[in-house]
Amino acid sequence: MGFVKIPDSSELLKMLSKQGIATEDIIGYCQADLTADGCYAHYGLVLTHDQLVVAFAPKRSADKVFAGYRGMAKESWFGESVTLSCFPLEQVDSLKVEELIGGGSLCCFGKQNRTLCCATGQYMAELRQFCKVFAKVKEGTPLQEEDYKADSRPEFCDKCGTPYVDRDRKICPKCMDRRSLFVRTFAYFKPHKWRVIAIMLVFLVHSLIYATLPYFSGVVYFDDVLGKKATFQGFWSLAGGDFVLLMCLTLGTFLVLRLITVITQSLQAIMVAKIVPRVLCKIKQDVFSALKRLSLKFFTDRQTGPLMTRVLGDAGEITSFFIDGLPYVFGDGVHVIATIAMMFVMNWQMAVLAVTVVPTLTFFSNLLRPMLWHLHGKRHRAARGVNGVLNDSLTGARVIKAFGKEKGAIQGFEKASNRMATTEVSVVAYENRYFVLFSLGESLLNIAVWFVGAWLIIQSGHTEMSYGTLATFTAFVGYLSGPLQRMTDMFRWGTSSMNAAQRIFEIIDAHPDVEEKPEPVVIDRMRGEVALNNVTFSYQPGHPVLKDVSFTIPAGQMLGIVGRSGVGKSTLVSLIARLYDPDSGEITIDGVRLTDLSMDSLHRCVSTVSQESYVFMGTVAENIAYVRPNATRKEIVAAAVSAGAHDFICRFPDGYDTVIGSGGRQLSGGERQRLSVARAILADSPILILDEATASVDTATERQIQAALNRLIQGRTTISIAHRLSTLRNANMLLVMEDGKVAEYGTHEQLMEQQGIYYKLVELQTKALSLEGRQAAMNENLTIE
Amino acid sequence: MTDQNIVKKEEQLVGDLLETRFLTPRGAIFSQTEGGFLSLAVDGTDYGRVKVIRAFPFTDPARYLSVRQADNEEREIGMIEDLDVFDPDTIGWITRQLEMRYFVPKILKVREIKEEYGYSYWWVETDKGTCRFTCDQNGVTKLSDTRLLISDIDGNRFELADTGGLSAKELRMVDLYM
Repeated sequence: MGFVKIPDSSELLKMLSKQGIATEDIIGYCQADLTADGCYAHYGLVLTHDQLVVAFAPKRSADKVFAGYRGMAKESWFGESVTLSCFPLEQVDSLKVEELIGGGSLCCFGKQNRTLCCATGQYMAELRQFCKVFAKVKEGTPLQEEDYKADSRPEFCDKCGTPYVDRDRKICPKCMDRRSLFVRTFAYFKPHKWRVIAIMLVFLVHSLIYATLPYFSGVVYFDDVLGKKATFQGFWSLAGGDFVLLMCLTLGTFLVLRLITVITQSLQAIMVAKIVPRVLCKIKQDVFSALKRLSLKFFTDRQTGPLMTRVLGDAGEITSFFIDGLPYVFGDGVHVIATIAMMFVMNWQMAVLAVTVVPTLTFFSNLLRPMLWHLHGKRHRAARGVNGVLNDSLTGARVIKAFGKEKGAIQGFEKASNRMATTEVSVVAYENRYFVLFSLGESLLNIAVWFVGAWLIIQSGHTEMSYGTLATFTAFVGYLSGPLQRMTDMFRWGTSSMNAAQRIFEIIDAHPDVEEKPEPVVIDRMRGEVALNNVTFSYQPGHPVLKDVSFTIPAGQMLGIVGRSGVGKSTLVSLIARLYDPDSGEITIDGVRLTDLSMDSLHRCVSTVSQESYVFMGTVAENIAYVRPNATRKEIVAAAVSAGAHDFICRFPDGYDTVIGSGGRQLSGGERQRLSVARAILADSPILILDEATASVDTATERQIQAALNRLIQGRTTISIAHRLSTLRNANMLLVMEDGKVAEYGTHEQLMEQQGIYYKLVELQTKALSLEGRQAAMNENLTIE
Repeated sequence: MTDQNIVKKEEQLVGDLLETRFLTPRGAIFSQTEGGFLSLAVDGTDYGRVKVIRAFPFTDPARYLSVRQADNEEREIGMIEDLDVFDPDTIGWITRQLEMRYFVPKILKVREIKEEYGYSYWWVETDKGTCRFTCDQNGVTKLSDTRLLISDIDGNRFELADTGGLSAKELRMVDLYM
């Protein structure tokens, strides 16, 4: 059994069996790929019950291939040059993975202390797992199935090996091809299918009429009317000789046809205007609801500005293509086919000439497409950059002003917008070059038609070619170039709109890291016993923020968490609120795993008061009732009273109906904090998380909020993070965190006895406090005197 | 205890946390163990195995090195302001540690960059050999106008020290990700 199996055919197995190690003796195996001197190599680490074997082979193949790169053979072992070094287990006390930048090293301690090998990022998870297994073997603890499960890694498509766009996204972007993208986007138009069909019909009529117009202005007008053809007179059953009337009739028909095309055009516009806003609206709603559903990680990984560009810009781009673009492709297609058919009927030589130039033009435009694609992507990125800078400087306006850094901010914006201008220029320049080439091709085609037509007339003397046919052909070519240009244009448009669609669906499809199980456990009222069992978590692969954290809080008790900033306290509580899922280990409430619990039950059972208390747009009452929108006014007021918020709310001219949040009344830090306490009181959940709830307020306000909180924590399981140790006076248990681990755990008295980190912190703070107290006392004395 | 005494004690406590000791060849004696670990003794105190971390890994890699204990706490023992003042052996040992920690192949030549579905596939020649790796959308970080740090999906890093040294064709490929 091994988490990475050694392939049966591997040379390594043969070498090991020569050393007397049978395959079934191997209880652990992992790979590494870097020497301590920084050379790529092959390492195989093999663990048996009595020894650790390090197999090493220098790298022979030309290219070092990292995870995710497709189309390359897996790196393999080279039999003859493998060297084995064996370490008896009794000589090795422990193995440790040292985190380095982008990778790590494996160190062994014991009789010899040394670096065994290094590894790039792709093998880090394996190595860590190997060390865990090693530790268990050393301790003599029996191994379990779980020990062989590697930490989560980016996943790759089974079919083609493409890494998924989002880690847990189950749809491969490659196997989900452009066609399905197109079909999917098309689905948004399904509710409007009759309108879409109507638009298509109108386009059909329009194109057919448009295609026949040159025939009227050419062959009919020049040859039949002006050429005074008898058969044509018979067609209209007119008396001989009245050619003026005949001319008027022909021109009249011409006029009517033109009128119909104008009417169909305006009909199209009206119908399009009816569909676009609705589809646009639906796409935006889908994206927005996807954004809300996604876990916090999605947002912390991206800037907010680019996300907004995506939702607003991309939806518009997609819709405009489907409405202003696609029907034209259909109409133009009909037009081109009809025109070409008529050309061949009238004169095949000239038709062949015209038709050979069509694919040539398309071919050249195809050649130029990939570059356009890239340039558009770049322009999009630059636009996102500008938005990002703008967003950054608007949200940070206070800091910028305070430090007088307006100039720097302006420069930053100038830099970003300059970059955007440069990319814009290169896009336009490239498009220009493209259009010049296209027009040139078109002009050449025109001249060729004139030339060949005239040649045929001169040579054959009207038998093969009439003046009218030539006039019709020149008009055909003229009318053909419009649709052709649009159709080649459509490639570009389609490209960028499929790009936009891809970006949109990326959001809509992104699977939340934190997801509810298909059949979750629903519990109405929980007691609130929280237990963490060997929880490990990292924001970035390879940099665990929490390592093997375990503790239990009995229902109704209070746990205080202490530790320096950045030590993982806030991360720990956000795991309990399930903003993230742990990489390994489990968190349970009342014995039910968080991952099994329904989101609804979880939200009802855990509420958080954090340092940054966000206020939503809306009234004070709505903000308090955020978690329970159907709360009565009485309950809202009661919650506000116990949060100490009632007083200041009543002092607002509009009372509980005061509109706050962006655009509304500004609240002070303390006021906002008390609102969020009121929110938590109203939520009335059995588990309460206080994440430095009083960190951003002054001492007097803090005392008030603390009083409110003390009332709130009665009878609830409370997890409180605090820098000021005095706020943890009521805690049943204290937990001191250090470097992502539980460093100390116990009651206040126990920890004071230990004289460890907690003891030092208490010492430091009482001294600071006594100093403060003395200072305050002195000041008071001064004022009294 | 008088107020002055409290203030003094307080200042000392805070001072321990807030002051940085600078290590010089006079007090700090580095050595390398057989197994390739770096150890340090300062003024007679033996700290055993230590780690060396760059404070400015991109802008000043040879100066302002933070020397830390190798245990989980990673408490700082002191900083090296300038590595060059040490003896050649020490410089060699510390450089070896740094090179192991900051293993970043330098890209010499860009063979090909393909893009597909938000991932870019790089095929480059580096000072450590030819590499093929995959980046996501946030893979390229601009360290300066001409210097790029490229991280693949596993966090492996590659450095493009100067985009000015690339050929026009290479630059065109890289430019799309800048």
